[in-house]
Amino acid sequence: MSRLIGLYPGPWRARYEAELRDLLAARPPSLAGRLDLVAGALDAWLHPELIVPGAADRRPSTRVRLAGLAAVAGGVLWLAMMTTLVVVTSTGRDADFTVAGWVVVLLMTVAALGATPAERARGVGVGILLAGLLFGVGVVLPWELKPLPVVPLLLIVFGGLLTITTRRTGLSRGAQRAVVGVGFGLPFPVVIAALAGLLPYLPSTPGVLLSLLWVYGVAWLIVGGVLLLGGGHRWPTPASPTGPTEVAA
Amino acid sequence: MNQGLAELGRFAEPSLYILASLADGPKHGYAIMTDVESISGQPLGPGTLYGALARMEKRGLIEALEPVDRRRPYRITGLGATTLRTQLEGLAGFSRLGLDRLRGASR
Repeated sequence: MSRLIGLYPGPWRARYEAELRDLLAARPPSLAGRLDLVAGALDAWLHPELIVPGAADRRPSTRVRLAGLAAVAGGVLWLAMMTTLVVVTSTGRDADFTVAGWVVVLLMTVAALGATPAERARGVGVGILLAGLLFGVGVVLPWELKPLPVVPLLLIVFGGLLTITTRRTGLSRGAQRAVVGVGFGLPFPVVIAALAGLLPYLPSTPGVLLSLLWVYGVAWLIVGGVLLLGGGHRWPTPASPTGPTEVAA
Repeated sequence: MNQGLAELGRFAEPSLYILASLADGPKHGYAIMTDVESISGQPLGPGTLYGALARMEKRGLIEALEPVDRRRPYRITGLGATTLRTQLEGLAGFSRLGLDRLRGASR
């Protein structure tokens, strides 16, 4: 349960973590107590001025807000796509997701680039461009050959973009790992199965598939939401090596 | 702080209980939590407790003392005591009024 403390902003943890950890060790929280901790973490993100004077007036740069918007939009579109995919597949019809898929990748690329500090944006941009080119090459290959280059590149592109964007949120390292690990780790076996044409043969109900595929979109919504709320930008002093890094807005 | 604790929104009621808990001496988080639960009869979540402590500390109603081991005690300030007294006197007046009206209605 103490992992939930990782949801709090770095400077908040620097001030209260030791005593809160001690309290939770003495009195492990019930389910309601855990939900109360999550609500408390959200409250701490929404009210940075309680810990850092003047923090409420800090606003993330236009670039980061754009990244947050792109992340939220990409997450919403992903959720819509996956819902449609599972429903259409389960009803035996076919659908073309090419355009929507590229829009999702584009939105998530914008999010990752916007969330990358300016001094590292060029390197990240080149990496994304190379992955995109390789992915494009993979797309034009015959269907039988697609899984070879497309699957690992899908993993690199989708996992990499989420990881890059999540690093900018100012969440603790443990919370970042949880967001990326769950958001990326759960859906992609399903994505690979779908790509290999195995989806109709999987002994899973559409509801199970949908919930597995949804988590990636939900991870993007969380990351985008935190960026729009100010993320690491309202917290000027990194409280720990895992704390947020302030970059001039 | 003459407006009382109302500006603390959903943290106003927990803050009143926490101030009442600290009125008889400094306490750390766990002691406050158990004391508030015995006063109010309601569980106090850890997130709510620390949300209220942060707000009260910022407003000067309580102050943190040096930690003992990992436990940091909190103490009510003069402003906190005044605020608590004002709140409790308001509640006492309200209580008297309500009880008087109930007695009048039952005659």
